[in-house]
Amino acid sequence: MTPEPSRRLAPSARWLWRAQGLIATIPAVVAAGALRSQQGGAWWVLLPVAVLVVGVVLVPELRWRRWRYEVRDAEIDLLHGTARITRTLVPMLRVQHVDTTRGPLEQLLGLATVVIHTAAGTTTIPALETAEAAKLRDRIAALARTADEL
Amino acid sequence: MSSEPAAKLHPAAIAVLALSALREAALPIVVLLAAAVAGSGLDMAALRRGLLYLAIGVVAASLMGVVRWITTSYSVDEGGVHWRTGFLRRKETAVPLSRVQGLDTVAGPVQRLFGVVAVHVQTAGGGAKGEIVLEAVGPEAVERLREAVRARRPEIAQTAPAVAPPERRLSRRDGLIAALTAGQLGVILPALAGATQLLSQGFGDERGVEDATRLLPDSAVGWELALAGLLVVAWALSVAGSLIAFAGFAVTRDGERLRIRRGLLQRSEVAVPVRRIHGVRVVEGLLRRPFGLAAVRVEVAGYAAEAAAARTLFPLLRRGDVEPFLAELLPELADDPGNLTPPPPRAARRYVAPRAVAGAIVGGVACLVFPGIAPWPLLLAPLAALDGWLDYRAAGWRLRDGRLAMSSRTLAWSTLLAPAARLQEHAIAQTPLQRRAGLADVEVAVGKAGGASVRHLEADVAGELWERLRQPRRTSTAAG
Repeated sequence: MTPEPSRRLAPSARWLWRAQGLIATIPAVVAAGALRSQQGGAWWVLLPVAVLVVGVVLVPELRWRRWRYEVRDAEIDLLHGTARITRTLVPMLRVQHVDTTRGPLEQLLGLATVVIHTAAGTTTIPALETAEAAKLRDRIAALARTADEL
Repeated sequence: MSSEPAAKLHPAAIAVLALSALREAALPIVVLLAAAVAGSGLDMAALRRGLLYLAIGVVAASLMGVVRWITTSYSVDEGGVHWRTGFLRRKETAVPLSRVQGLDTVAGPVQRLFGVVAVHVQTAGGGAKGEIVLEAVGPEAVERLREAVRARRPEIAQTAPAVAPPERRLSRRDGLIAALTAGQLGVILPALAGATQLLSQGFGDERGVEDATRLLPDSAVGWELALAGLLVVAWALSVAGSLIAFAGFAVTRDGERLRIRRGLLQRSEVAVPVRRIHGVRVVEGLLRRPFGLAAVRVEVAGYAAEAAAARTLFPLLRRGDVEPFLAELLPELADDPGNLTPPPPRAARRYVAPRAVAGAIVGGVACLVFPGIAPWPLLLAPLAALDGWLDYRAAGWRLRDGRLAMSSRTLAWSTLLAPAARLQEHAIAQTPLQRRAGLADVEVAVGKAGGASVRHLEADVAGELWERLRQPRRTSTAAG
């Protein structure tokens, strides 16, 4: 069995996902408010609280603990997931091009996402330190080129 | 440097270009007409105005056709195939001969009227539409063009190979069967939406509303009849669409390319380079499975956006005929779509139970919301369970001599045949429940349009398969 990938994402990835979880809580707050004004009862408060606990506390931590990646000469090995854990392998020979993207939140936290394009779509390694992401992108691009020449 | 003088398109190009310009302008014209009618009702003045708009449109389109015909020319020389067009904005395209994959000819209704063809200059990077499209070329000019390319690249533009290449044609009877069993839900849904829109638009004013209410069925039976009628109409449309799309379907193996010809109104010929085919999919629809019939599709890099019809390698085959068919036309990917290894028997309940529970919940909610029709919605539970059971029976995999076969079902039965070396990526996945039970899913991706997966394999079997896919035996040449 191939050893599992070992490299982790940036620790601040958790803050990125926590912020995203917080944004996802907004509709839950609105829904709870609407339900309360229509149906009454204080229990609706639990809805946004539950979303908050799952989306801001549990999922970012779990996801960060799980995420591992490894770029080898001939392949990219990814292990990720919160409940359903997926291990994906992308052969270097299949990589068409790589780029890095930075959303507004990522820019704030100094993070970047590496996007790997194949004929089947895209695969991402999210929330890496900007310098690390740039290094990884260049390395994959170089490896993909040599793989093509073989 | 130019050894061939620049040639003009056949004058029929004026009609082709004018019609395509008109087609582009058709929507604004229709909107203008509708606005004219809506503004003052349908009287002579509105009709006259509408005709005026139409006339202006036709004249403008014809002028545009003439201008584009005058300004368009093409030539072939050592530098490649050159194409110049445009009046205000000159455009020049040159495709180097080394990049030319072939010259495809397509004859649409207008082209056939004038006895000409459209020539698509195909390149490796392009889609189904050629990098250069010559809208109308006469038969002698096509020959000259082929001759000019052949003189410099003998391996392309062959017209008469020494040995008859392998070919399969769709018989008329099979074409009819294919159309009758197509059952494309994708066609039915837009047709339904269109019909309801037509109904709501047709009765815009108040008198109309009154008419409409009179037309509306006043009992449940009426509604059901109306719905059944719509479904029959949609089905008829789907059958007609398939008949037109697959009329005269023929596929030929021509060296390193597959040539697929099809279509009644729009005769199209597509050439697919074999090295760009990453997989073959055998699809057995709900209406075809009981009769042992299947359609064969190709997974081609770069053709993902094309319609399902364009990806069809053959519209109708007996299931047992699939492997011989592939062995003849596409031996690189030929494999047996049957005899796969199923998931373990203990996985069966994992296919069935979640489906049954979901069905029961939906049915239960429907019963609560519409107490009038209870308990019928609860039938969803056994139906969903049956669906899950069929999914379990359909699931299977095999990896033999570097060739992967994977079958699964979502309404239609689908088997992917692909060389392991051509997979774009592959994954193994486990939910917490599967972890406890020692089961796992395996997923593969071959192109934008598709992949395949098998759920609930034994975890060690899935892990071994994942490892074997990682080091595929290079039985076929790698392609990007």
